[in-house]
Amino acid sequence: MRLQLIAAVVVGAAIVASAARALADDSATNAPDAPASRPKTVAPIVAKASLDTTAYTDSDHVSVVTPVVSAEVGDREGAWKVHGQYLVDVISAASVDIVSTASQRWHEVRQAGTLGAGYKPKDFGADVSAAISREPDYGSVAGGGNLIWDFDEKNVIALLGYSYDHDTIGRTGTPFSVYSHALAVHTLAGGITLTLNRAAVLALVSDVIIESGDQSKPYRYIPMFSADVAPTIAKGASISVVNAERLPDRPLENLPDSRDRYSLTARFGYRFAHGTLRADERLYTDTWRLHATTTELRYYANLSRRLMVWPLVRVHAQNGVYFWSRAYVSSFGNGSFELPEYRTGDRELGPLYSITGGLGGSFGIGPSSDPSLLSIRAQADYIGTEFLDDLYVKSRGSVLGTLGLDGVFQ
Amino acid sequence: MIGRLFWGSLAVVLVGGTACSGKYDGASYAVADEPRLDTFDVVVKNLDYSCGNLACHGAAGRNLLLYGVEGRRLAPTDVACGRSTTPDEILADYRSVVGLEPEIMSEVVASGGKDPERLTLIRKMNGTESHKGGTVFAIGSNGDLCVRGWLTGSDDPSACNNAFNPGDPFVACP
Repeated sequence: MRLQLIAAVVVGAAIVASAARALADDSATNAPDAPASRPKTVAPIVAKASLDTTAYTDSDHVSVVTPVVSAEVGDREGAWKVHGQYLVDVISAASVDIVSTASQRWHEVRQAGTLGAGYKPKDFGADVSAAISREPDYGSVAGGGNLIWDFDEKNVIALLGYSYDHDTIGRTGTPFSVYSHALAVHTLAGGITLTLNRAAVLALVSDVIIESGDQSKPYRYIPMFSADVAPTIAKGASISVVNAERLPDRPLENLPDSRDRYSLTARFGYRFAHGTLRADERLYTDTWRLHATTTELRYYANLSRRLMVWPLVRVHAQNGVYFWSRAYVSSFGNGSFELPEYRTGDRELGPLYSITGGLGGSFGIGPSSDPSLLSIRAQADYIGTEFLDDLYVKSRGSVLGTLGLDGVFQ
Repeated sequence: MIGRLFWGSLAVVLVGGTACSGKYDGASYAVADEPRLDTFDVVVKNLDYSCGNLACHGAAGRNLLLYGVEGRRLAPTDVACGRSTTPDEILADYRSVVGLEPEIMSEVVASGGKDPERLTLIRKMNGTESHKGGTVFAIGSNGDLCVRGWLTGSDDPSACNNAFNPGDPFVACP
């Protein structure tokens, strides 16, 4: 699942990223203290490498540390490139969902790798990528590609992409041959980037994601309540209240076997004399009737030739899926045992909103001729999430931090 | 055209986003083929005996929650190792066992107990799936035959009656 999201984001974001990068690069070279002219060295091959470590922790006792190594080799003109990435997620969790089932803190390691290549000699190009991810209870294999066209001297860029992701969902300690179910994901992305004038770029990307298969979590069992007790279960009801009031039956999560997801992302970039403003709006809907909006503003400020900082703010809001309920009801008696057909405890499927504030920066430590050849990058975000209709928790605070080193070799 | 699509989508999100759900708006699932309740009392004796102590499936938060003489009691006046498992506790245990994976349970019973390994209950008790309590009823043991027989609708309680293992380390009551 994580990989599929990564794949979707990569496909969808490719076009908007290229536009934003163009603006940011242009902005950097137009910084007030930029050199009058760059060295005219011509290297046919350019290699880029980066090392990152991302750390996440939240108030629900979940922490994740993710070291990432990435590399890319291509020609200086961007006609071709090959790239790869490898990461390890080290996860430790004792969230309320785990504790509420009388289970202990668990630890898990996930490994993921991607390989890709692109070729775009002139106005038309293509890229392909493949990814694999493995953890004790989840396996994923994905592949996809994009077609890219430039029109009107690159004032218009169009992209069409497709990816396929096959996931295998199991249980830790149990071979997939004994217990597993499959999830297939097709992602189709189309987008266009318009250069509106010398300072402004607008990109529009639409994603259609078709999911089929059982994506219910194998560990997630849903407490049931009687019809007269359910309305008394308050938002954020504690573990002890839920355990005292629940019925004996606690069925496994059951989600619909298909989900069609649609999103439309608009990204607007505007270059000022000393920086670039980027504004994103993403609208989302799906056949589980989850509707969401995500708005992000960030400003890349070139404080000097070596230092760039980017404050950001992001607001996300969504309703719950149509089968969402804080307290599900089951009944038993008179020869009939009835439960909700679909049931979930996944908070990401419930109504919520979140506000993110963050600050990132990069500091070039390369040679004075081009400090960006070697740079240190850091980012810290705080995400406050309010869960509007959930058991156990009403809110969550989380911190996400990244420290990275980027190098360009030519 | 793009503008209309954008504002139309925004309206859908804003309207949908404010409709905070609280009550289930989906369909119900009625367990079509339930295993026999009338023969469950001899089955649950084994489950209670081998799985139901307060550190195991008698613990409050367990997904498979068992009530009975070996551990958790339904009535506040009852205590562990006190009077025998009551009819209400047998009903609660039935509901807990059947309600764990109700759709799969119904499929297994409808097929006459064929491939009961589809059920997590069977895999865990057999030890073919990771289980903190380890193998409780090995494949082919009386305890295993007892539960599998119940799923087939069998009337023969002999396997259940011979399943007790006095040396079982999980048993709480002497």
